[in-house]
Amino acid sequence: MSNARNIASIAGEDVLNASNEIVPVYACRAWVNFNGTDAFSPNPSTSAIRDYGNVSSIFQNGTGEYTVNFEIPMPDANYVLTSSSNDSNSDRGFHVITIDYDESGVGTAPSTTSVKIINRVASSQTFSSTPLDCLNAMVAIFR
Amino acid sequence: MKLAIFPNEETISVLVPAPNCGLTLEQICAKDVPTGVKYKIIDSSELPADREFRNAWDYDFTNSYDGVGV
Repeated sequence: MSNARNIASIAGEDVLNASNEIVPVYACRAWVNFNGTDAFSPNPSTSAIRDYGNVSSIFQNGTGEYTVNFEIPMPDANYVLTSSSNDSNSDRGFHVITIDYDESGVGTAPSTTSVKIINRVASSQTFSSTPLDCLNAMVAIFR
Repeated sequence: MKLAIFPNEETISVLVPAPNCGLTLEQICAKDVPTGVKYKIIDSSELPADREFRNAWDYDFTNSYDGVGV
């Protein structure tokens, strides 16, 4: 609970649960909404980053592989990443973003300054382990 | 739009700066590009138009770079 911020101390109002108990609030520490497809191609009309909070840049490391860099580092690397993504086809196919790291140590472990992610197709009919660019990548970090 | 590229395993990474974040592109590159890795600032128009072989993109940073990640 050491990192919890109680809204009561911020806005002068209590946040109550169903039992009328004051509950801690854990704010989003970083977030970004970006285009992982043609925004990285020549002459994009706008930045690939549509909007963000506490993000200094993103890398496109290869097809469907990205790194989100934090402007202000996290207190440690034990944060939670939640995300949403889809492709640019008319079916708006469901994708899934995961961190690029496994228990054998392959990949890049999340750090206090950045997190590397991979986007893959995960529709009901198709799953592909091959990384794929996504039109809408939305990532949020909680700690 | 200005971007930065740097070597990443067998391909190159493209750095897209967060717009209006209060840091210059050079400051972002110094902070976010991996330590000791050379980077080159380019215009987005210099990127290949064909993304079919995206993971085969290559660039010779030996004598052509604008800084090194700190």
